[in-house]
Amino acid sequence: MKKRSDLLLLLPSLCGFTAFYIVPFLYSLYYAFTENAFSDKFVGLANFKMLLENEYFRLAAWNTFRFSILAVPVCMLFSFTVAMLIARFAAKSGILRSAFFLPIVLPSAVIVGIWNAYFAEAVPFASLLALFLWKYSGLNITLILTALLTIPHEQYEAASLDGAGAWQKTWSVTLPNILPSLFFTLILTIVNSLKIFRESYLLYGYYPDESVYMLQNYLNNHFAKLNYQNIGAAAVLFALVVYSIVAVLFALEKKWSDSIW
Amino acid sequence: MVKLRRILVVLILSALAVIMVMPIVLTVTRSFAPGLVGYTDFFLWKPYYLRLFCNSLLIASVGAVGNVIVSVLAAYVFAKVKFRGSGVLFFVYIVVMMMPFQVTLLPQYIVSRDWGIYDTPAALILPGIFSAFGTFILTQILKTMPDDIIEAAKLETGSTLRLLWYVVLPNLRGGIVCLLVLQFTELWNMVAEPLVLMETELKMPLAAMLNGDAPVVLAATVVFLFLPFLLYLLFSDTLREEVGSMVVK
Repeated sequence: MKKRSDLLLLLPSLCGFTAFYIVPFLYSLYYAFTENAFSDKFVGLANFKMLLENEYFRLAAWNTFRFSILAVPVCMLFSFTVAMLIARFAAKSGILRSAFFLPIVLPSAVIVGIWNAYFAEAVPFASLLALFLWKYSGLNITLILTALLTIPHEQYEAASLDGAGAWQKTWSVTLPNILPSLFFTLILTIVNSLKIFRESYLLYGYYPDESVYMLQNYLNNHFAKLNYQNIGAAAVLFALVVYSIVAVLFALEKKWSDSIW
Repeated sequence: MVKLRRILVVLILSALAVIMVMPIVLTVTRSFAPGLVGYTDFFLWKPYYLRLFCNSLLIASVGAVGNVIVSVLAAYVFAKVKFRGSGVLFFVYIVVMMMPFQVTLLPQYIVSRDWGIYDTPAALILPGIFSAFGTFILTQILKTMPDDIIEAAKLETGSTLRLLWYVVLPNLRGGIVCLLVLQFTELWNMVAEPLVLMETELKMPLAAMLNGDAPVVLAATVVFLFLPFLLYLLFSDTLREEVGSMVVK
């Protein structure tokens, strides 16, 4: 009885979430399988076939993939390294830690203004990568660093007594301890890599250089043309990909933490 | 030798830190290049931008506070109440959270038309309040809170709401502050959403309209930048000390 009233607390979130996120997605699902805006005839996978044959969609999908597959690991590695260095050599410096955290609270428009003023000639793809690192590594550093600082000293001392070197200690003490934080950070980083469109749009508008023409550009431009079927199919494909990524990540995390503990 | 290495590393870190902060310094200096024209324009002669600034303020603060309230309640259920389907539902939240706005842009536009919130602040505020990000982050944090504290407190307080207020909230302070700052910044920063869900220029948030090099735009950018910065300063200790520590197992 008690439990049922507890579940009521989920209700506000669930209603709003359904209204503003699930219902729109169901619309997409509906468009993805119907003939056109005026006919609701079921057409099977025809819309998906049309989409996959579209060369701009393929370009956009490839660019988005290329960006995330580069940006996410680079950002994770950079954040991890900086966090390790700060933890080891400058754990008490509040200024240093603030400096890294600052970009995340700053508006994209600011950095884009600067970028246009001083680096307008830079290669678009590299520019977006640099912007991504600049903006999001700070949050990762903060999260990883805090995790690092909570690892008990004794564990390192015990490892030293066993004759472990610096690398070995990183592998067998540091990593297992911060795994939950790393996992959390990784998910946030993937989310953020898909948000790079904001910077891309502010820098290059709706029709950017081919190398940074992302899925978000594609969807935006088809929105302007009100091409429901195309957008619906793309949304469903996108959701499938995200679903697979999350499923794999969860399985991996479970496996790793099981093998460690 | 060890000392030398330490100095070297700190120097490198400081150089990186300077790079991180540089754009902010440059923005501020650029805005003062033509003197104070930009600022007098912004505050006195061109109220257009001040109006947009107020729009942003309304959208971001209502959206962020609302999101915290809704997320705390939902996170408590996801983290501490066992019910069938909880795992699957949480998974759906995460998948949806990871999809960029553009994926459901067209149906969101249709939905906001259907409910008569198109071209009103509510079109941006409501999706902000119900964004899954808050639920995700607070649930992760709450999961690390020991169950026996909750059980013990349950026996003592009797009602779940009181339990939330006296036991969960104080323990969740860092996470709430973090979410508040991040969600505020996220809404403050929105660009694509207003361009799709609104059409009246005067109702837009400032972020969507900061284009160009006019002195008033540069000044508006600095004022715009100042608010999240202030929020950060206000909470910096909590943010630095507590945020990550709660995601740790």
